Amino acid sequence: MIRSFLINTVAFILLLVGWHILYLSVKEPMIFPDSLSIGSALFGLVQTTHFWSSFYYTMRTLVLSYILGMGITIVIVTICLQFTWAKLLFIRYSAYFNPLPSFVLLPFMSLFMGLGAAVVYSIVIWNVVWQSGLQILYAIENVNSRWQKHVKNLRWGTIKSLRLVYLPATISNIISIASISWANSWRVLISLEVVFGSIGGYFGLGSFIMDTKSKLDVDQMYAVLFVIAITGVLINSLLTYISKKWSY
Amino acid sequence: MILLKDYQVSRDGKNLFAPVDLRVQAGQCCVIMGESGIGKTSMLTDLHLHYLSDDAFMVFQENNQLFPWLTIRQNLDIATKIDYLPLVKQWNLEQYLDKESYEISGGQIQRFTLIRAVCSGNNILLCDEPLSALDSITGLKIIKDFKNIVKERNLTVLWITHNWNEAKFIGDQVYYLSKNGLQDITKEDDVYDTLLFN
Repeated sequence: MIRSFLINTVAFILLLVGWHILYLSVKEPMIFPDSLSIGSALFGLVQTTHFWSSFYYTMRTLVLSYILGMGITIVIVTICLQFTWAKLLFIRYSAYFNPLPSFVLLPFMSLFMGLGAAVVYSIVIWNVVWQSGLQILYAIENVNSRWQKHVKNLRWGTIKSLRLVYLPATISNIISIASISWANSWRVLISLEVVFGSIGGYFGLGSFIMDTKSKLDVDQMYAVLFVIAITGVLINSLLTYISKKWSY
Repeated sequence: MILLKDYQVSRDGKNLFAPVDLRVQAGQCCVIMGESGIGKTSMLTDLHLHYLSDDAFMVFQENNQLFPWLTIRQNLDIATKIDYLPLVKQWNLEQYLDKESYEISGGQIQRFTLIRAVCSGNNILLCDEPLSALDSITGLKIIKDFKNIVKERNLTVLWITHNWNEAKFIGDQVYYLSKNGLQDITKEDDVYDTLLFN
């Protein structure tokens, strides 16, 4: 824990030094503002309700769509474990849809749903399902043979076996898969928000970046970028910590 | 009751031993000994998966067969249909019930595994070296109690071991499995002498 903190601190200091060198060589504050200006912009930002409301909007969208996506994934995986035909179909569909960047669905989804929060939700859910579904299915199927033998011994049904054996036995793997899927959803969501701007009453962190860019408030733009990066790192660290704690 | 007629187990298309006939009555314990790799575990697993899948409970050879994400009590609760507490008390294991499986010794785990099998509600038990991690004195005490339970509950047991004393102590029938099939060694006094020099 301390070692990880030290590494992060050193990496952060190196980043600051690199940034400053870049600032001194470019000498164009409209492109590369100095780190102190970004710091003070960040300090100013965190005192505004406008910033926190967009932060809240992004996090709410991400958490809700992610939970919905994972819920759908778990239902699909359960069906796949029960029926071979469902598994074969899911593997096939995953091969079609997983390589497809979920971002490209934006034009199609907006045709059906218009430009609003529903599109953002749908794209993040789509991303979660195809990203994590197959990996979770394989993680469960490849659970330690010792536990598989015990499930046969106890003659439990799919749901009971999942609840009592397969999910606890693979929880560490599932959290790893979930954290990768979370990081990806985070990136997709911010990109969508940047593209969306504040259309359809939607105003998240990505929209905030676009807003600061149009106002030529570059310090604030970088400050929001910093917040996005730090939030991603913190959540990822938390998920990694949980995954290590629950590993059997 | 277990009834096998011309029974064989094959691996990679080859039969591991000659066809065997075996009859184990309810309330009896049949012990199978044999050299390593002859197919004793394969035989038990095959019986468990393909022939006795609805009636049998298997005690596997692995050391830790309890789910590590559950306490011992939870492990027993989810797998048993018969009250396990009297047996837990009889084997002096009450103080470990609320521990996790990694907090207790291999021998204690084996005893809990045996309790789980006995109280699973199944009439047939397939036990693959279930006492290999126990010292001989504790092992024999467990066997004595186990034998009584087998008689009381009319269980049918197929038991694999490499320990002749254990085999003589628990087995109503004792067989030696070799390529030639099963050899009845129940009445032998010194199995090593019989097997090595005959």
